[in-house]
Amino acid sequence: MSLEIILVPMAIALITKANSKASEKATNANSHQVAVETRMKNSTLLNNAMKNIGCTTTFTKTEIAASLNSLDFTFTQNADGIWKANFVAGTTVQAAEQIISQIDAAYGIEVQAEVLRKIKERAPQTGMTLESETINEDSSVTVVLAVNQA
Amino acid sequence: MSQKRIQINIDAEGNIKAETLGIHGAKCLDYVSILEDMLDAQSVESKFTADYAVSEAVLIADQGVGNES
Repeated sequence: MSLEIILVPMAIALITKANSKASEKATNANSHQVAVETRMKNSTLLNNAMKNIGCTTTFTKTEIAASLNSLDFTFTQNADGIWKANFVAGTTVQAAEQIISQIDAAYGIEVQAEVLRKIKERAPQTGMTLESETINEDSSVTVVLAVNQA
Repeated sequence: MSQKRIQINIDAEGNIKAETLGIHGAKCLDYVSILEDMLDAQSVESKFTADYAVSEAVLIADQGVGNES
């Protein structure tokens, strides 16, 4: 063991989960709209994650419209490519954060699967061979790659 | 020659931790960019373990012996 490296997939914004936050703004005197910033960047993985938890989704050019448990919301992407959830007026911050937390957990699993797929696909191209793959108790996955030596 | 390996752990949130095994000295650093490209990921932190210093010292010592002969 000589070097330890922490990496963040491009599908995840370089912010800590603690930075994900809900904000609430008044749309009129009696109504507030809730928005939740996320760490999610990949639209395909986001769509898969939402479907996996039972969301219905509709893609347009600029947003993803979604619905879960009769609650409607949309995702829009900011200039950095990070998706932000916007909930219909009347949604509580708690309900919004709960849904985004569910989606985020499903998204993490999608990212994990995507990283594993890339390892299996690309390791041989970089002179490495998959030696073992272990699913751990905490649901993380550990793979060991052997570096082919000339 | 010991087998060179890379151990990669991906947690359920998508975070990645990699460790080089049996790869000595500064050659370890080559694997930062190799892993970034392979995983479509960005390294945010890396640190040498104590083993790195030992390995480096052995390499330097080996080179010293070679130069004297």
